Amino acid sequence: LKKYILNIADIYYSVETDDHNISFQPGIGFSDFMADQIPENTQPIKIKVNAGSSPGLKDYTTIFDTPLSPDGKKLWRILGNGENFCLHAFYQNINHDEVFAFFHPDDVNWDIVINTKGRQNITTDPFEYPLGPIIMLYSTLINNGIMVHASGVRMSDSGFIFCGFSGTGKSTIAEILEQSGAAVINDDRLIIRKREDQYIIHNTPMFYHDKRKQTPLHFCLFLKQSPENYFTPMTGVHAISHLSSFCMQHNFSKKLIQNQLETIADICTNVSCGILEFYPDFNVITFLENIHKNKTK
Amino acid sequence: MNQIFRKKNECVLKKAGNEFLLVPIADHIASMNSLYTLNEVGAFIWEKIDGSKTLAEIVQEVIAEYDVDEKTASKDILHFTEKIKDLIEEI
Repeated sequence: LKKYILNIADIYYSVETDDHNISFQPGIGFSDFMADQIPENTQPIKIKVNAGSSPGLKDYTTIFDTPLSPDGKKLWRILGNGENFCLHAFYQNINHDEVFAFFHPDDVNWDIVINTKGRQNITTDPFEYPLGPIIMLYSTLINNGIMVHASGVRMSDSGFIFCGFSGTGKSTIAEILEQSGAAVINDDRLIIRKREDQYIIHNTPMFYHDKRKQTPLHFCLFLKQSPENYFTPMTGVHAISHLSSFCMQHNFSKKLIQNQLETIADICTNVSCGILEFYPDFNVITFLENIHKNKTK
Repeated sequence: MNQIFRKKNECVLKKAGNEFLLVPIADHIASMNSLYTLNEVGAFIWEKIDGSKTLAEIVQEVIAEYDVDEKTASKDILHFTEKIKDLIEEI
């Protein structure tokens, strides 16, 4: 494959190479996100991939760095030259190829150079970790969306997201609701974007196969486990700061921070937000239905 | 109150209703999720911290802008600079 198109949260990505040494093999999680063509009047994120050696980064300085992985491997860092950014990452595959992904936060088109260390006939997936999630994140932010650690569910024609850190019950509550007939969009990572006048919850490609799913967003709930179910509505900066803490962000670019804050503030103005203290059993279903009824009264 | 502070990092200030959010532009992973909530007076003081005004001068500007006495304004500004100490440095 020398070219393919992805549709992730209604953002189109055109991935291509004219390098004879490179071909693409997208991961299994992307199969349902493949698109045949880019719709008219839609500007795709262009991702151009080439093989090469380590590019000169004389004008660039490291502006953001990540710690080593638990097994001591380098993951990624961001370099900048005052105008453009370069994401310098390492694929976590057997060859541990170095990747240099150049982008500008005004358009987030990507010019990717893979340092293949002289190997020939490279089969690669530009959306492999760690590059893929970062490409999705910045491309989402520039397109006035957010990427959030949350589970998303459609229940009784209402869309809920449940935000929480690991162990607070994102997957548990999604599973309980699914057993009562609700549709789970995803139980870990979501993109939220405004389409016309409504915010939409989208799933993203994961390491496993799943269909592309979406549903309108009506409730944004921050989870806490508790002996009983309780809902505390939240507005203004409290809601914004809560939602922000569950959003993926790296905060090295003023433009991307501004975009993210604008989007989060708008979501918190248009969607019911609050803390959901919940006990993980089927009573939470009735409790959520009552929150929904009270809102629509 | 003769201390002069300057901002360490550039920040993004966002108004939401009557309050503000302050997000520093991070330079390392540990600070990537920092976010401060400020009231209107806090945002006013933040804008006045410019590396040239003393805290005493900023207190006078706060008194001129808001209905507050000097003692309360001085106490508040010291509390505020303590709250945002990771974002500013004394010169």
